[in-house]
Amino acid sequence: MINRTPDRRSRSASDMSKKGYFFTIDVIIAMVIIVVGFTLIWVSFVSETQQRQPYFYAQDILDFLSTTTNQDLSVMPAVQELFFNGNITDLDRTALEQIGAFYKKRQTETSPEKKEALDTMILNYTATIVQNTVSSQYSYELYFKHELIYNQSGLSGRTQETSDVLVSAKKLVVIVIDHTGEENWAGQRIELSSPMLAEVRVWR
Amino acid sequence: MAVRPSKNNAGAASSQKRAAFIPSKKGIFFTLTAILIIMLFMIYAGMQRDLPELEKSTITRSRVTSTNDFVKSIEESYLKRALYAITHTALDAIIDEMIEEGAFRRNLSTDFRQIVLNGTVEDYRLASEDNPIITNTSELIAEEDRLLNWLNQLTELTKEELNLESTYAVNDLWLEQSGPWTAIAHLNLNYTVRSQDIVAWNRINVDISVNFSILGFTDPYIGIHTTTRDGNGNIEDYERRTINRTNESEWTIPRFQNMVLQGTYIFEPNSAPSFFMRFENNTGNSSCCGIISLARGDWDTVQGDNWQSRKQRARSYVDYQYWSVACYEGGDNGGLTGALAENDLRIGDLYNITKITTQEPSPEEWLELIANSQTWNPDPFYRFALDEFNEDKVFSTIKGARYRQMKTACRPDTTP
Repeated sequence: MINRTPDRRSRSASDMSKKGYFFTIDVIIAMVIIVVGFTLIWVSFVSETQQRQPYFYAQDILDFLSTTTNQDLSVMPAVQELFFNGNITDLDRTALEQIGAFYKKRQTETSPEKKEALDTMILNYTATIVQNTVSSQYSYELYFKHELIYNQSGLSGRTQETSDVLVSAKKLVVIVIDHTGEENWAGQRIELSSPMLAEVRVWR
Repeated sequence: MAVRPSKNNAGAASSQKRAAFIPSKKGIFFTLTAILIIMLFMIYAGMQRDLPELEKSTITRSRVTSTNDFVKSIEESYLKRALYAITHTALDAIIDEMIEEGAFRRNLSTDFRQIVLNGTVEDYRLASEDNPIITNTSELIAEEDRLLNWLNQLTELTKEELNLESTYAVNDLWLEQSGPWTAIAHLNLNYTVRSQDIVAWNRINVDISVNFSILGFTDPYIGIHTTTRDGNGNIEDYERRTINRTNESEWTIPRFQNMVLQGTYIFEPNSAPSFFMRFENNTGNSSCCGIISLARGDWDTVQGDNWQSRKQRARSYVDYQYWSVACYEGGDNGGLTGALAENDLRIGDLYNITKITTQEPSPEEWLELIANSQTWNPDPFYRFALDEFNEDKVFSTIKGARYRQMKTACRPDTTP
């Protein structure tokens, strides 16, 4: 049996309380390090994801528009209406080509009223297809030959100039326009457009 | 008095210090462990981020993806659309030129290649049919509609907007008729697409082909033959008959009349030329793609016969026979003059078809019309004749309308 004097006993108790104090501090510091460390790692991943996300959104919108045909979209009432009105004549056209066809028609139109009607048509057609396809925190715009033809603002309300990250995806569009049967034209006439640039910009 | 610590005392102090240190080292065990864990995670996270960077991920991958996408679009979309549209523009331009000049082409494929690439075609207007001489080269389509110009536009835009270098070299271009109502335009080319030093495509002998319908094109054969000109050689009028098919097979008198009046065509594989053969005035037979329409009774023949004098030289009103057969000797005389071969389906009797005509003018009315130089355009039309083959095989169900066999209808052709 160990026989300790009172003096030794009190020193030993003091050591023990010191050890407990060290352990507690040690655990607290370790927890802080772990929390801060993991937070930093997570934040760096989140910020990278946020930078990559607009790229995928921009590319996805462009891919979607360039692979979905009017036939695929014909279940949509707005598209059906354009078809029955004779504004959409080719069901095999992709949505991007259809927007391009409207755009080209608007370029050559001289009547301001018809121009405005075509603007509305482009806006409605595009909105029907791409509205809400991107998370609400992102804004995006669709351009044809550098001319803005559709935009949707995200919740952040930021402009391209003040955005954290701005990503652009581009694709060329070539369309064939059949003028056969149009007013002031006898016989058939098939027109080839120059290649046109379509661009989607997404930002947050 | 100062006491120097003995060696033993010094050893004890050192031991105490060590003892004091060891508990504190044990005390930061958790901190060290936490630091170690975080470092391991950071290394892992760093590796995760480094992997794509090793591939120059975001930029490189997107460049490769967009270049692949562009190359795919060239072959599946851009060139097909361009070929489709330029083929239509070129054929329409050639047809208009043929009617304007009143001359058939010697080789449609050669002309097609030239006009698609350069927008020009050789002009035969002063050349004889047997010995054509190139007298001029006409520019038929605008610069922006030519394939080479369009490819230049594509190259420039690709460089400017997508930062891709591209080159195109056309090897060949030709037309092929794939059915009575369809054709294929073929384009063979080499092209390269390069995205800086990241990725490059070098495509050799790529075949691009597009199917298109011949429906809607003007028939140059009928256009040329029906053209009338004034004293200065300017076109006064011509029949712009577009290829428009009829699916009738059970022929009745009203359906037959409609075919004549509407100028529709039917597939006839045993005797008739195809649409493309009509560009070259080739009235041979195309088993895959032969088509016929019927001439109207009020059209002049190539010999200048009009409705008044046509009785003198009977002929079949099947379009390619109407102008290519100068004198059809039917009945006992054994068939058409200058038959191409013994098995020429046009050999045989010639039949007038009736019940589809209005009443013939009386002799007095005839004289009056001739005296007044009037053209009689009966509704729907007057005299109409078919050769034996077409009457018997093609429009067999209108046999009941056969009027009479013409046995002595042909008289010697005296035109030079």
